[in-house]
Amino acid sequence: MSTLVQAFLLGLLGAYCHLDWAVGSLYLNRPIVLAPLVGLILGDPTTGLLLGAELEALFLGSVTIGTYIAPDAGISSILATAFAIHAGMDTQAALLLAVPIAVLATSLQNVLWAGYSFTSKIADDYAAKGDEKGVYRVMWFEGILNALLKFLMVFLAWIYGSDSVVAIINKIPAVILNGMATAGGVLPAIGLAMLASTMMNKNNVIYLLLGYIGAAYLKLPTIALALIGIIIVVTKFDFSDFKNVLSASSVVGKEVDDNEF
Amino acid sequence: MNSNTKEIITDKDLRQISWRALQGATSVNYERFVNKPLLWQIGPALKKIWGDDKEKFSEALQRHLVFFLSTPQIKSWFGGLFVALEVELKENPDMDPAYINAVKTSLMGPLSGVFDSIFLNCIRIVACAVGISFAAQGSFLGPILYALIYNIPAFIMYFGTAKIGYRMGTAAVTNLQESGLINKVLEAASILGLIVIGGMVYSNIGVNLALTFGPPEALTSLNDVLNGIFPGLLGFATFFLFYWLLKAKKVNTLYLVFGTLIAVVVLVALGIM
Repeated sequence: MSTLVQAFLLGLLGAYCHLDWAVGSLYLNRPIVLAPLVGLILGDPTTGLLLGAELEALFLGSVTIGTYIAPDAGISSILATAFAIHAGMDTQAALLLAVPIAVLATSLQNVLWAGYSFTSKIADDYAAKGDEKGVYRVMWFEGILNALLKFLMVFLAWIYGSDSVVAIINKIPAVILNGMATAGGVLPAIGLAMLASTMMNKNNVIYLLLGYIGAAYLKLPTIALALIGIIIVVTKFDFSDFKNVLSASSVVGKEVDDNEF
Repeated sequence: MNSNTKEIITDKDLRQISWRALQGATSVNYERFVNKPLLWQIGPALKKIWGDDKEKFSEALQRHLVFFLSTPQIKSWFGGLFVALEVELKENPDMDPAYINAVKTSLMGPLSGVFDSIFLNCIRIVACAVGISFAAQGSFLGPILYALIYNIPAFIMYFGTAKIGYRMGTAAVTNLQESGLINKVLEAASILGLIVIGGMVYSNIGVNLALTFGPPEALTSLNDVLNGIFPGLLGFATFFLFYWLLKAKKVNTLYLVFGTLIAVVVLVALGIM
């Protein structure tokens, strides 16, 4: 198989690292699945499987939960497996070559995800015009661009070697990449402020403070905050009223015919 | 109650909500996360409900482009619930539309906490353990079993919960309308929502300074000092600054995003952030 075809197929696996989120978040963009596929592409499935087991154990704790974005285990394992099979390197040496590309892929993705705040504005304009298909187009544009980024990172790294890709990317001023990563922490403040503005007023702002204090000082998880909220709501309003609410929301698929009044 | 609207949403529509939940994180943005995939998921149902009223339809579209983030596997349930609430809104013009996003906000965080634990920290770990042990022996059963163990429960959630969400939404709101509690519940949902947002303001916003001061042997980080006064002080202040700009000053979010990006890059370049 020519290098170009290999690079293309490996690149497709790179693209899949993002597209997994568009086909059901199947979690097939993990080392245990990707490394054996890389093995098949490069004609050594057994090594691929063994590396898949090893890399999966290594990256087990690295998953994206909520707004925490984990380092890219998918890109790392595709390239590490490919380098290890191709050059007969041991896993650690292959990872050393692969991880910088994955870190760069994540930095560039930060730029996209921050930039998507602008395309969100375009989506808002479509929504204001009642054009839902316009919003869908923006979503697919963003998703495909994200997949294309990962395709190119893997494709170029396989053709030109990871060193030269890192060297090229290093020409992008670090301040831009760091700035976008830092902005990733600030931008949710806009989204949350927009969300709060739909329900916050001077009478209930105190409850936002309560949630904040619970998380900041008591380190309470969201579920605990919500349970405290339920207790507050139940004590604040007459509980007997809420018996109906609770009974209504616990009814699944059967008729509500046992109302007490 | 008018039964025509009730019958607008059929099993076929709920199946479509399940299918489209699979695209749940096609695109992500740092400002509102997976809001567009949510709209993709329930958009066709919204069109069916509001299609005859262009203005109401565009309001519904805008309503569901706010901040949204949840475990992928519960998105079918959420989709069914939101659509049920939209149907109720259409039937009861007295209902405050703010109710829908208050419900969304108060549920997404806590339920995602529970289901992230179930899927990522429990089912995935079991799937990995089985998969790793077979793959380490050079068997393709490794990745195959991994994929199946993780995804069979996931697909039961995707294709089994849209209808449950829809029925729960309908049952809850119908009962509330009948007993005249809807406004109380709106107030209560807003309180719950704000408590949850308060927690998210602390845990999801990160505004940190890189500045230090003092002699080299006792270098002190300004950030640590500020956090000692009030944890996450700068993030908290940033949230209220944006809230004020949005609500009191009616600043366009486009300018907010643009201004934030420029300000952050400049502050990083100056070594302040």
